[in-house]
Amino acid sequence: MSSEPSSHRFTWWPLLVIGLFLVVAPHLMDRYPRYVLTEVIMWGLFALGFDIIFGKAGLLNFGMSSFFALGAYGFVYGVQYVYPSVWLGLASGMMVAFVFSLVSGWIVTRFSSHYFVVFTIVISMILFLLAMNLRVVTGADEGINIRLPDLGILGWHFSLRSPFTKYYLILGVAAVAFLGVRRFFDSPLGRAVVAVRENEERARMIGYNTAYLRLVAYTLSGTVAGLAGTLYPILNSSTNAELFFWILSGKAVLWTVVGGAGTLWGAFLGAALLVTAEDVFSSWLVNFYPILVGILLIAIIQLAPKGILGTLFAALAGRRAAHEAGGGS
Amino acid sequence: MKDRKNMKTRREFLKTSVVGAGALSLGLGFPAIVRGKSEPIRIGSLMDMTGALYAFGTWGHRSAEAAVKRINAQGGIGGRQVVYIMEDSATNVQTGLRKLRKLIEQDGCDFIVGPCNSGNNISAAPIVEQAGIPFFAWGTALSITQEKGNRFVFRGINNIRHGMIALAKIMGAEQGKRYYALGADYEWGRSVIAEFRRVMDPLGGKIMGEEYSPVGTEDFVPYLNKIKADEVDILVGGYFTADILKLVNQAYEKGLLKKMQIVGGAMPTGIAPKEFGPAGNSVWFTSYGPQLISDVPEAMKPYNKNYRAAIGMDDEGRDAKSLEEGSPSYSWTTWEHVYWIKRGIEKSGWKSKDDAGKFIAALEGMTVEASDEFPQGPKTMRGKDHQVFTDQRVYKIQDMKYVLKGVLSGKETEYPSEVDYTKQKA
Amino acid sequence: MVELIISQVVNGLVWGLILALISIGLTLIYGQLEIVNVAHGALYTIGAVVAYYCFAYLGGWAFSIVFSPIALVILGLIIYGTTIRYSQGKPPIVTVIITYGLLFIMEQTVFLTYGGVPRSIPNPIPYNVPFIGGDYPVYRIFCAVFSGLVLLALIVFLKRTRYGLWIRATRQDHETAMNMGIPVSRVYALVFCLGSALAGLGGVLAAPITSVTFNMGHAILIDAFIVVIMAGFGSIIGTVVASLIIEVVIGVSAAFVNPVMARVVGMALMVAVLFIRPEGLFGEE
Repeated sequence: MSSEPSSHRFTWWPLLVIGLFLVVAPHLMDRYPRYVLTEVIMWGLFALGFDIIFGKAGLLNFGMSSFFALGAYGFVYGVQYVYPSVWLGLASGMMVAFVFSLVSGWIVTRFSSHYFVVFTIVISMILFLLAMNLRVVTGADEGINIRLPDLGILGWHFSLRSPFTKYYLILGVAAVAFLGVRRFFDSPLGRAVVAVRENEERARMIGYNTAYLRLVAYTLSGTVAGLAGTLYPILNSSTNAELFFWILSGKAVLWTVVGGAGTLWGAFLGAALLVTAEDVFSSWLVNFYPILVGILLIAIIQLAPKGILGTLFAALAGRRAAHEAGGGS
Repeated sequence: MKDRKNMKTRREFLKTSVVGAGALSLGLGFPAIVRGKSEPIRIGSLMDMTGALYAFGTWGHRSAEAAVKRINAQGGIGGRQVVYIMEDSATNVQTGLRKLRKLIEQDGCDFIVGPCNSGNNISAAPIVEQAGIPFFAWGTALSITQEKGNRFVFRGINNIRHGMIALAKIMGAEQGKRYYALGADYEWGRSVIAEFRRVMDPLGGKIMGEEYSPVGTEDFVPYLNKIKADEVDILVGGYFTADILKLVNQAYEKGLLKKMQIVGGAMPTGIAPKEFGPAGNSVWFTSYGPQLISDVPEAMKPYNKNYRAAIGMDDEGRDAKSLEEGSPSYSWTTWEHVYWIKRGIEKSGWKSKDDAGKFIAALEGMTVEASDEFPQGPKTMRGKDHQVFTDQRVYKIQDMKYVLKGVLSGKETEYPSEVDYTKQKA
Repeated sequence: MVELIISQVVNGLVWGLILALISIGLTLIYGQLEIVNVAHGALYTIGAVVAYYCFAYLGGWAFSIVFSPIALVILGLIIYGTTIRYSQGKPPIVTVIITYGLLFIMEQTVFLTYGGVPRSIPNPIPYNVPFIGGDYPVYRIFCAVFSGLVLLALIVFLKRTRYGLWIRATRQDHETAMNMGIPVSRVYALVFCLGSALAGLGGVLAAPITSVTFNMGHAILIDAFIVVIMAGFGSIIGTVVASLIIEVVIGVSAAFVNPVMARVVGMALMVAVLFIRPEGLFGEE
């Protein structure tokens, strides 16, 4: 049995508990924690995009910020220039990220190991330079501010000025994407992606088209990150070329690895933990907080090299194996 | 066997959900803010305390905090005390947006004084509009009081346009007309050059070349190589802080500054003139405030002295204790922002957040005289675009000192407004 | 135009040698310890800060050529002993996160002690030589020669000394090396300190050109990574060649296109190199 902390081992009811918690939570919270939770869900979805390519397909994409930023700009352009509808914005942002990940993926997924990393870094850096340069299109570091249209659902209209509308929209999008991704990795295609990571040679011998499977994972990953990007202007009514900067890619890596790569949940946990920690530390000790964040990172990863959830799952799996062996004797 | 496996997964899951809930519930315990009539007035301050603009933020924070202290010592505003709450924007748009929310939603701030980073001010505009909280921008990007601002955004400092009008008029007249533009490839760097052109070209200026280097450039020589020293009178550098220092030093090392003069987009903060070494003698800056106390007109000197004493800045614009270079050209803004808030409250009879509209209308078109509350000088808050018009100075470094070369008043740098916020709802 | 191109090539070679000195430490540490050292930029910054203190308090920038490497060897030992030692053998991504944490800690410590504002060090050799189409600073030529000598000394050290032999042996197969009686953990510590010292030396040389700021390591780290990747991780000669090529290409293309496009050309070149030689210019595979 593989040590893969697979998501499909969960039964339906834990999902329901978390789901219920997230549906009820905003009503139990003050305004600011509610905002942080909204933001964490958005960043968690972004990190989920990274987990697909890194945790599941085993490829380190260090250029995730491109997808996020393209999603954000796709939303803004769709809403501002095509038709003022949030749904159209979500679709157009996702489309832009999808097309870009398909095209760039077609080139970069021919490579594996660290050359893949290099290409993803370079592409994202070029995109950042261009985004800063093409101010007419992107507004460079001043970005674009937009007026959000109301959210229309079956003839009902909800104002996106309400933090609850924002919260439930973002939660809904993230939930649908998360369930979709889980479902994908329970499907034969998803299992094949993981199989390629575990043993590429064997996967090829069985007859898998490994390049194709990598492209599938890459495109799914980019599209999910782009979808997360469309949530950024919904949350902030603006977008900005700084989103293309590599620091954001680094954050996706950090959140996912600290939370537990390959666990899908870990992306959200890592984002929640690190965003909250940074926020609390920086209000508490203005000038020292990067030192605390640094120590926290080193401590977590030394204690749990597979990330928090990854290590937890592995420990539980180990104990179960021991228990089963003991019970058998 | 299968059942037992399921049991395990349940327990396994429970543990993970506890961890997850723990992380989220870190936020649950924040106290709600209960508001009452005699409640203090809450001023939030978003400052660049870490990151690239740290030196600006630290001085901005000192100024705003000192102003609040002074107000409270004199009995508050209309008998109400003022609470000052500062959060670090980290010179980063994403962090700044979160901290802005914290100030508005958790700390219940009635007004916000903003940071120096323009990106933070611009991204704050839609948020404060939605929240109905007046915001005082400190960044100097032109667009803050143009298409990217709104009725809730005020700016109590001149912007790049004033700066370049002053530079081109005062310096361009005496140094020659042929200039070469080299800027950082982001909005601020591009604006500096665009605004310099806008003033200089009608005055007979001739641009000999224009280039923008990507953010993070360490070696400018490849771009400096393209400048022909005998064909250019002025090198316009759209850079600030460490970058302008690099540009000046590298241009000097290359022997470009024998006759050529070099213009920095704005007075550097935290950088003493001696850091420019011998290269400094060719360097010009535009400044939003008086650098040395001796640059202040006699009638206004006591005000500026009092202001400096309150924030611990000496007559040379340095930290009075450590003697490190301060931010005299910028830091007065956040002090005055606090006093704009005071004037607005007093004039409009503002009682609570619901009166934001009254407050805004009261500030629109307000003129203030130089005083302890407005130590930088007299100024007018233009109603249409919420842009202040006030003195703009031009400095040159001579013998490792900043030397004042000229001042233009708010009237002399006035330009027509492109927007009219007064038509927007508040 | 020809004049411009020649001066771009010359400056590219000079700056390339300085960049090579900074990048070598990165590639050395990766080649030996398999650690992607994101904190390398902070080590470079600390080298430059020591140079500033030497200038301000000892009266001469030149002292830092000795003191900076010493300080960084000590710092390197501390870092190795407290964190790096325990991260060896872990997946590269884990080492990235650990060194990222170190970057946070070191950079902020510099910020709290040295301060947040840039300071400059006067040009130690304030002369120019006339050079086609203008002047060229002598100090930069000194930097290039100095970097070249250090790199040469490094190669001799690796090829000719007992420690060099140990380093190469450990690199090829550390199990065998251990069986042969080579003190492997000492070799690792040595390599980490050597890499740190080289980064610091790079900071010393760059300081009078770029001025000293607490976050100066960011931009250079990106450049160094590009060079190391293009060279093929772990190759020393490759790193030198790659940094020379990339700086010359950026310089020469800056003569024709705008600076942003020149950088894009530099990166496109890297992509092209990897397309043709996926293991890097001098990669060992």
